[in-house]
Amino acid sequence: MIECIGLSKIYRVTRTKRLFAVKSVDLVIKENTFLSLTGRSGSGKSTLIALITGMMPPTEGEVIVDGQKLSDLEERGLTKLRRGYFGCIRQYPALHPSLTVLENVILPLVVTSLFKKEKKCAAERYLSQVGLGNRMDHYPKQLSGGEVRRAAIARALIMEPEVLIADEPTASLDRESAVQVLRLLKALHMSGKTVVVASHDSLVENYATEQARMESGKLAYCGLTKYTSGQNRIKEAAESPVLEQLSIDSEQKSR
Amino acid sequence: MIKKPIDIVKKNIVRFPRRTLLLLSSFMLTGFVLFSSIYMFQSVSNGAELIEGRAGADLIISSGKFNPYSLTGEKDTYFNGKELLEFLGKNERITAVAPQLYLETISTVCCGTEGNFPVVAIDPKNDFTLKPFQVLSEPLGDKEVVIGAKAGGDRFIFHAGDEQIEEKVLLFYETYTVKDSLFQTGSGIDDTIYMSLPEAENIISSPFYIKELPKNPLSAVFVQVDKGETDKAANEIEEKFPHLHLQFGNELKGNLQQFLQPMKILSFGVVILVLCMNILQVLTQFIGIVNERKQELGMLRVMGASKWQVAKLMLLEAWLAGAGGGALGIVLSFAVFYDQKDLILIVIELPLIFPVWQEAILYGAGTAVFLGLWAAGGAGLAIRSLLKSPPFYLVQEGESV
Ligand SMILES: Nc1ncnc2c1ncn2[C@@H]1O[C@H](COP(=O)(O)OP(=O)(O)OP(=O)(O)O)[C@@H](O)[C@H]1O
Ligand SMILES: [Mg+2]
Repeated sequence: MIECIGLSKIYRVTRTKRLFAVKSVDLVIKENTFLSLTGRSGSGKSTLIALITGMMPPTEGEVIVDGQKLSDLEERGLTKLRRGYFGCIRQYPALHPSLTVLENVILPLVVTSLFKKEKKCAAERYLSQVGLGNRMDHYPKQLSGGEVRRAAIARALIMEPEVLIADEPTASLDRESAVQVLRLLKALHMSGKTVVVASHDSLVENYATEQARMESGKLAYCGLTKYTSGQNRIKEAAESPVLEQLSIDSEQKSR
Repeated sequence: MIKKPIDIVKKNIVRFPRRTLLLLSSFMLTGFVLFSSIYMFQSVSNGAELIEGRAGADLIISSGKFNPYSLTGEKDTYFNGKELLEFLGKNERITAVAPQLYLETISTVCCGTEGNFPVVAIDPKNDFTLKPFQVLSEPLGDKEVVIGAKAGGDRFIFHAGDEQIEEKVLLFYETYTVKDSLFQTGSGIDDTIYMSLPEAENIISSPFYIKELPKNPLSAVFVQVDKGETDKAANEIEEKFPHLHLQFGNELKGNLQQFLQPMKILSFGVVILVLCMNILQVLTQFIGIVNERKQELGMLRVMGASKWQVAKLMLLEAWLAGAGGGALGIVLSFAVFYDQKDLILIVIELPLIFPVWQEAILYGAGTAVFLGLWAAGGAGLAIRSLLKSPPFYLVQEGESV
């Protein structure tokens, strides 16, 4: 569970000018929710996500992750959190340009010296799950935007995070690719992960169980989505081939 | 397939072939200059050490005042050396004896150099005063001479060792073959022509030689004594041969050291200068590289890599460039030294003793490792401030792009 209490971030723009990017945000993200964080460009979504994941300290307020205050954590603790708890999917830079898709997926393991041979199979499995099974030795610049985004999701999965956090995973994608990415995230949510997606595209709300809307740094609305009650959409998501694969996968795991 | 952090580094290096090439070249030049300087410095030191250790005579015996700077006896003072040589040969403190006989200063042309050259005879078997300066280190035979650097030696050196070219010099109506020449020493050796003592005896007994000399004539005897025994040996000689003049050789050594000093200072200065230039270059390059990869490095931080794990990638890359480029330069420098040995000797005109190859490899490896660490240090400085800022600021910049 992630709790934000009175979270604020003030950016220093010039010597005298300050900018309230996030203003006293109270937010609770429970386990196994799919939270959509929407709002206009510049409303503070990315900033809020950076605060939640400990990528920078807040000016005021507190983030509590599973009962642990982030402000109490040293650099080492924050690194550990980023490594194991959060799986971040960013719009840019999504992938390391020097490495192939498969290498990108295992990159978090390699760079933290945790790589083992078995992990390669896991990486290959994740890549097939996101539909890139046949593109593993391609380089990022040989992929389309949607494919890059899906590869980034596979990479976020390799560290087996509890929470997947995606900042603008559908930006600059056409509708169909965007839906593909969102369905994938939905499938992961269905398989038990907590998912947070920040986007200015309200399409995300169709997949989320909860939604938060931001307006110039403040949380304007927070609550369940209409989607949570509308079962037909769950069905739509459940029918996606990726989800089938994942559910087969989790069945095998539980056996 | 990447497995370890170093594999990521390799892939990064391959991704920018042109920049890698530039980086390597810059370190290659630094390695070249650095190693050359060290190698040269060491060779000069070796040369000086040899002169101090072996060539420097502890005692110089003559009948008149001996001039240590000219290394030859005052022109016309001779003595009968038979008894002295016998005495010195028996004395246990004395380790080496090198007699010399000054014959005449002759106006002649030697190897295309015209001038007045003192002709001095030495004992080729026992002499230690010339050996360290000899270019070819070949012993003197009949009808052969060794010439100083300013007595045509600096020209002879160009074809030293070439059997096709024979240089002749006319002395006392006889033709002599130039066998070898001497490096510049900054002393009287430089314009002297040396021949063997038996050859000198022939000249003395010829009708053309008009100077009156005592029997078994000698003008100076250079003596090396066991360490710390010089004073005792000097006393003994003085007691037995009160008419002879004794001089201590320390002065001579100091003179040579002084002569080599500018050379040492110069190579030291070059090393410092090149390193300063290099670190500026390293910093410029790596600040560029680090900024360019800001988002990439930030991405690694977001994935859960610690500061050190991110820094390690840059440091490794710098280390590889520094040590690799440096090694190339060192190999090149060594090849030049090996291939152009003669040319270097001509240009430097000093007694140089190149380090043995094991020593050279040690210097090379040391230099390469040092350059690697040097580069890594530069990269570390470049990446330091970047790692201080929170990861979000690193990845954020690319967002709007
Ligand atoms: N480093 C910074 N320094 C100063 N101001 C900043 C900085 N980063 C962001 N801002 C400002 O803070 C506000 C919120 O930015 P943020 O990136 O969180 O918005 P966003 O909701 O993610 O927008 P978008 O949808 O365009 O990504 C914006 O007005 C932005 O200009
Ligand atoms: Mg944003």
